[in-house]
Amino acid sequence: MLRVEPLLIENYVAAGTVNLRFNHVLDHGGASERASAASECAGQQDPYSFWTMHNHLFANISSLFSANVDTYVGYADSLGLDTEAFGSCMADPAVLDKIRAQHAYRTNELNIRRRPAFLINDSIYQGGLPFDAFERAIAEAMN
Amino acid sequence: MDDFLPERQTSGKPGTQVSVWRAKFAFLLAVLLCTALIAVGCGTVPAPVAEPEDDPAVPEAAAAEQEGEAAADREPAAEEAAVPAESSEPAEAAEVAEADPEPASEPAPDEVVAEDPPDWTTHAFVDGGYYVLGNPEAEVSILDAGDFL
Repeated sequence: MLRVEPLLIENYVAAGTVNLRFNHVLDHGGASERASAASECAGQQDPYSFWTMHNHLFANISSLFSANVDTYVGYADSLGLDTEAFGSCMADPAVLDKIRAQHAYRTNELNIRRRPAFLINDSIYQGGLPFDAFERAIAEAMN
Repeated sequence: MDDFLPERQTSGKPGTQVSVWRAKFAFLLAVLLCTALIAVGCGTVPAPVAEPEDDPAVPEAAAAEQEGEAAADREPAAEEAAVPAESSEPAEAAEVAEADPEPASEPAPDEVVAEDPPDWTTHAFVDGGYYVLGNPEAEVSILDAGDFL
């Protein structure tokens, strides 16, 4: 999705025919939880900030394994977010509950075991997909 | 006539005075009637001109050939009576002229149509606990089940 997502945004989201949502997967324990919590806490301040943080996290993916809360507060600061509110959010157990629930939904409800995986309307696609595969899947979903 | 009036005016008898007043009254009535007839006449005199109304093409063509718009200025009453079609044309033109400003004053719908579409790439909202990027009414929704790491 990392390489394909900009093309989806440019060709489909911009046209208003497709929207994107992100379901947290926590395959790397606490590191995954902190990264996901950071995106959620950005989203609490502004829904679009979820996506700016989402892009920022993927851009700094190599740093995330060792990142702590201060690292994410620094990210929030660089994105112009309220760092005090962001820090409080990162300590909120409700945020952790939410991202864990999404992980459970992916595993238990959608029965997805591979990563990445995509739910395009009602159809599940597991594994990485090239852009033309997304094009076909989107066309099928629109018919 | 010259002899008749002085006689009545100088008469001192009551009956004669009554007849003088009757004469004055009759004169006034006659004047009023004449005035009324003249006034009515002004309105009805063109009627004979309007008689060809049964065949309006004749006066229309004649008016157009001879005087055009100038005739309309000189004989508006006659034209109204004789050529109702022509008199209605200016009215229609006036209506159009009045209607012209309306489209000019209705740029609002055009502006709405001309408005740029929303930038869905920066539009996000919350739905079912998810932060969704794009058009809420999009036909297709892609859920990315992924890990940031």
